[in-house]
Amino acid sequence: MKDDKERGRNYYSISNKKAQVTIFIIIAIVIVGAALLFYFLIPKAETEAVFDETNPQAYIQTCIEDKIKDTVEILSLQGGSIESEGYILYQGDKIEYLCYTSEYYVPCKIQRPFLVEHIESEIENEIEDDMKMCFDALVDFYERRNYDANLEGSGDTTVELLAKRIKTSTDYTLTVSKGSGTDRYERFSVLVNNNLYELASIANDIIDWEAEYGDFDTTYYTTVYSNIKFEKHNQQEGSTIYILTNRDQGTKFQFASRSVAWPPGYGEVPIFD
Amino acid sequence: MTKKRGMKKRKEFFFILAVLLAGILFLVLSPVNAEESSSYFCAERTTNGLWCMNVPWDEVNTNYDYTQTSCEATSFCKAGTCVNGIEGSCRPNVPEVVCNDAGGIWDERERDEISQCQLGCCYIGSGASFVTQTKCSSQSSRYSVETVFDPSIKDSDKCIASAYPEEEGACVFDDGFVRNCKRLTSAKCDTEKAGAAEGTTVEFHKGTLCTAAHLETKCIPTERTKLESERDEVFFVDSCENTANIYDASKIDPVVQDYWDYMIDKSNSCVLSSDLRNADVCGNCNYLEGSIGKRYDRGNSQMFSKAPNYGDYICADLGCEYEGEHYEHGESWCGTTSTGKDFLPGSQQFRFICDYGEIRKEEMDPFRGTICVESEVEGFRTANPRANLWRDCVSQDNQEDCEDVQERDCVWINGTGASILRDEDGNPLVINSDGKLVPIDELEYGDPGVELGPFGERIRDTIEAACVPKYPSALWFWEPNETKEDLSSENAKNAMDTCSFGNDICIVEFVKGKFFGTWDCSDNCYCLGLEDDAGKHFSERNMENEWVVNNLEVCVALGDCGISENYLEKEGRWTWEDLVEVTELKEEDFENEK
Repeated sequence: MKDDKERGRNYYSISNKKAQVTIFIIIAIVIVGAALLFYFLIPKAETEAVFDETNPQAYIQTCIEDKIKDTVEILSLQGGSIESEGYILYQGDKIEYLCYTSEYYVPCKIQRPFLVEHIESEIENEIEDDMKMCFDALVDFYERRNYDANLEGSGDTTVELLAKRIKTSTDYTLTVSKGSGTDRYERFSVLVNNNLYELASIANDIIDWEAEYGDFDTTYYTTVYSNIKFEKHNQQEGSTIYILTNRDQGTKFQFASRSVAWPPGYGEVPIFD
Repeated sequence: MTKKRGMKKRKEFFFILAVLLAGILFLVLSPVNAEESSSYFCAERTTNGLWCMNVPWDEVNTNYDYTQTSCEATSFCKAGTCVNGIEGSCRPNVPEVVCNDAGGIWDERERDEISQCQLGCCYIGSGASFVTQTKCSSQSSRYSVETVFDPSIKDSDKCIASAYPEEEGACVFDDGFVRNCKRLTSAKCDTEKAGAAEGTTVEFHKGTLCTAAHLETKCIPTERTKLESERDEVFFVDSCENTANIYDASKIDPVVQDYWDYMIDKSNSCVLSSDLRNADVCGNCNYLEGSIGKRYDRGNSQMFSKAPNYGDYICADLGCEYEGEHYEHGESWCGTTSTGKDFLPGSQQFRFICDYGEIRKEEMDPFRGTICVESEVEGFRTANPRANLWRDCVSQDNQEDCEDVQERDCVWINGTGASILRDEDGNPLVINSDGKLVPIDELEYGDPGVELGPFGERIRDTIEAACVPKYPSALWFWEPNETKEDLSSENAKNAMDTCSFGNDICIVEFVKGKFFGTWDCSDNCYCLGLEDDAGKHFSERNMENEWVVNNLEVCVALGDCGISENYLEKEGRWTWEDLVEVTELKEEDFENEK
């Protein structure tokens, strides 16, 4: 009996061990499988998560929002342009001169008279292709769900810098139909919270002063705009870097100016024949 | 006092020429090449992408217009006002081509003279801005609010002061079961009313809080506080998350106070002491007076040491501490990189600004084109850059003009070898009885240094003087890879041009003794230290004599010239041997050298 018991105990012990190993293997396979599924499916799921057949506007917002934010961040650090022309290199950023003179003693000449409009145009150009891709993807989503999706319009993108936000609109009209039902979506617009309009407007004020009188004093504006930090860095060759920072959002707008610069010593006055 | 620096011609004499190169190295610095200086062009576009600049030929982008005149004289680059017909902005000093390219309307007149650029008061919501009428209209869409333009207000401050905040009140919603409430403006409450569900009544109670007992809403007072966007103060908040009045710990009990019934003005709220000592009980912060509402953070130096009695927010101090001194928010003061004496080579002035509890640093012009000036009005300290008016110092010929603080920043120094201005023959000017610098030949009896001798007037101890900058300019003398033996860069040449005003020459005359054949100094001996002021003669040369020392003083005062330590108290590039050169002239060379 004892032997049988012993044998039986061993048998159970061995079979328990085998069962445990099998369970562990199954669990491992499940975990690996889940991980693979997670890896391959989640990105798609994330993209699809915001796709609501009844709300294509939300999809477009999610699709293009990051591109707009990235574009705004780049041009905000470069004086309002994506590809800076007439710039000064400052801590790795190509900061465009919004007002410049190559001479000494004289006020600068404004290089970007319509800064807000220029920034709007820069964002439009930069996101246009991405916007089209977002709409193509949107149509694709509908078609994969057996809708007939039709996109009308030229795809022209309009960007408006507004108070505390940036509004991007397109002239696309989307018509989706399934069975007898047809839905029409127009006036797609994307809103991004950003105070670039305010910062660019202040930059214009500073530049107006520099173009008329020269050196701008930041202390008055410091007392007027409690939510903006004004930094001013004079450079060796007479340029000034301005950095405007929104204290709440941390967003920045940087630009450069060279106005009423002082030469070392007596300097040289340009002579024309 | 100086000696007369006459030059006698005697055949048997040799001459020693003591040359003080008070500038840097060269006796005469070559003027700027005439061809180079005339090679400026107005470039519609420069090679580095800028518009309408007067630049040398190598910076002209030849794909665009250019001409060898100043841009102001061209048709395409003349600067004027650029009017944005849609947005209504008027930008000054914009080149015509830049304005046209941007789609603006260019006008050569000043902004003030253009009717479209006349400013007025634009009321935007509860605020106001001083802009053009077109700009006012465009802001309506940018801010998504109605605007009203008043052209009769011609002053920016009056405009901002005249802004009328929209009156707020309690907007009560009654659906028959619950009386809900939101703090809104009358207009917004009307909008809510228009969109209200059927059966819901909406009433507006101007100036009343949602917690007012007589409104009988579900909103009740709390002990919580909050901050409001674009407001400085700490506010109470009700149970419906509506902003109530400014935080005042003494008004926490709604039963005995009507503080929770009606809106109370800032001016009638608790008074926050200037040292924020009562910040724990009063949230009436004021940004212009240096405090603003912030989340309480124990240990933060901006915060009062005691936590607020109620809520999480407190008025924080925006002042700063600098070298043991407390500065209010907005105050500014001057500083420098120099540890000791100011205006040494390499030193730079700064303006420090206490801004929102942080000290911000702004550099003055690195070449001291501007200097930092401190002032104080009613205890509020400010520092501002202003132009350093040093450039015409050296041309002043009298002390009064030199030290006219309305016109220039100069000081008058006198002494042997001090003169910068010269007569036609290159001799230093000296002071006459009117205190004016004149050629030595024009001195008359009664002028300093002219006395009556047995055979008429004779000149003995004239006075030399010079007007030099009070705040010496900085010069660009530190080109990379440049040594004092090779100073070929444009910047080095410019530096030497400025320093060359301090160059001086002294011809010392020696006579050969008839009996022993030795050479004895006979004229201008002090330049070599062979004679002192009292007329005592010495046999050994002393190059650290008064004439050399005064020349160097003038030299250093002109800018980063001569022998000087830098701002880190390190020895400079030049030594006495570099700057003072003694050359022996033969008798036959003398006429040419002269």
